[in-house]
Amino acid sequence: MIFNIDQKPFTSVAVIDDSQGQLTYGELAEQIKEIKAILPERELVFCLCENKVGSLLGFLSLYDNKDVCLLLSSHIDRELLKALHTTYHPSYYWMPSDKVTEFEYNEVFNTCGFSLCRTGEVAPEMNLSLSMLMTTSGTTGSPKLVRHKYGNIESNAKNVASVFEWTPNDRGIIDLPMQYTMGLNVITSHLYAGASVMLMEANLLSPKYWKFIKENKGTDFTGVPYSYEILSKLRFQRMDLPYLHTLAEGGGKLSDVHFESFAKYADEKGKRFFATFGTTETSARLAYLPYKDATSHIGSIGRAIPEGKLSLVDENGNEITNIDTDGELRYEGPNVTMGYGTSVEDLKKGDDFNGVYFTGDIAKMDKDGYFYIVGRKKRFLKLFGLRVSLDQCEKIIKEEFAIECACTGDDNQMKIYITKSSLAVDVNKFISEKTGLLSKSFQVNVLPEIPRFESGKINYKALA
Amino acid sequence: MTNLETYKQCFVEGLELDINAVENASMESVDSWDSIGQMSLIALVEDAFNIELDPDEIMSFVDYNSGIQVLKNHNIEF
Repeated sequence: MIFNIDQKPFTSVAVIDDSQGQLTYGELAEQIKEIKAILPERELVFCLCENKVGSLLGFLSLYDNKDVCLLLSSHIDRELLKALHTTYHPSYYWMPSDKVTEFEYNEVFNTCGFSLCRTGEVAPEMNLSLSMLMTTSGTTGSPKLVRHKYGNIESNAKNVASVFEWTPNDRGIIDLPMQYTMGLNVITSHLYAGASVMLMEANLLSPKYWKFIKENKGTDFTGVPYSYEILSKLRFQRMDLPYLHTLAEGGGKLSDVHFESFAKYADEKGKRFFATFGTTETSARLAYLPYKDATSHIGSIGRAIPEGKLSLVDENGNEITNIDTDGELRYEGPNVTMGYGTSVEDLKKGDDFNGVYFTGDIAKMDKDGYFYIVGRKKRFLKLFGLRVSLDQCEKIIKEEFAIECACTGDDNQMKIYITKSSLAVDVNKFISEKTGLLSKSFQVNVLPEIPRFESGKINYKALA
Repeated sequence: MTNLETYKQCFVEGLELDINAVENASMESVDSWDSIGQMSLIALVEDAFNIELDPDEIMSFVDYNSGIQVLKNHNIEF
């Protein structure tokens, strides 16, 4: 069974949530067996996820049963969901039971507040190696999926568990969404180690959050850079949390100021601070900075996780071995997925990446062999930890308003350039709605014209 | 602007709400009142009234009325 769940101590707590859910490893194993018996292999299941026991149970059961799950938020924009459904025609859904009446599918089973529903459609033909699907760009209306193969999440669970040295005594705090690659990786690495998973719907700024983690003695926390902004605001470093021994960060670049602050705090308090780096395309983590080296290597993402290999390549694809020389980050390892999918035919495809992934980030290596991200080659931003495709934003704005548009910016704010001043407010509102991010994440600027090269391509450098 | 109007404007800007929805706004009822929304709201309120909220106050600020209470504790009159 996945992560050897049925071999862990029967009464050990596997997962609890802040909605009063709980399952021991024994109960989890039993429920997985029950769900597996209901449906055949190789069905395509859309999972409308929440950070709840029932949601995770469904995914683990379906994954173990060799069905292919696409993990989505239960709050996903319904137009986007419709588009995905039309594109991929799933045969089943796993969704919160209280959402069943929103759709017209046939509920065939329910447990722990979640239901399995048949859509009546036949699952598409899928490659036998295809294990699961995840979205890349959060909510920007792009049905570009990452195709995982069997072995991806398993190896990442094992190797990340080894990096953090999780034991069955650990209780991982997971408020990051389970449909987000890093959230899922925190969950799976804990399950691999026989530790407990604390799934949370509450957010860091609610009293419910702190009450729950204190009562249940959470031992480790994983956050995106924005989580650390919030922790700073909440004067986390003054809190008394004796059982919380590990802090991990990933999903974006933490500012040097916060990095140093938390690294020093961990050092002083005898806790561990781990900076990590990962992508959806690598089933989450690919690099980590050993906690002992945090204070002496501020801002570094460290080295490759076990079984992985990190290197830098120049524009011609040649490996760079000099220290302090910029190049594109290349990763090789068993957690590299197969590639992307944008149509139902793509689900038949095999392995495009073949174990090698170019992250699209520019990095350099120091004398200790530790890497530092210095820039980004690919056209996406990480706003509040959410990956947002610049090209996709341009596309949907152009389609919605029939105007010219260019999107650039940095991880603090996206800059959108248009030529019609009367539409500035509407464009801001539209993109904010589509991404689910506050409008202050975007700055709309009006220019007389968008600078272009002779080829017609947009000159992004001229916009900077 | 009166203090009350300034306070309401923080909701309009920070949570992107219509002015009429402000008085009924709560963390439970408003979609945009997630952690990012909360941080925005707090920052705007701190700026507008030139105060700094401590963690307990930040966490107790869960709806329109509890926010007013927090500000009253900082001697802001409404």
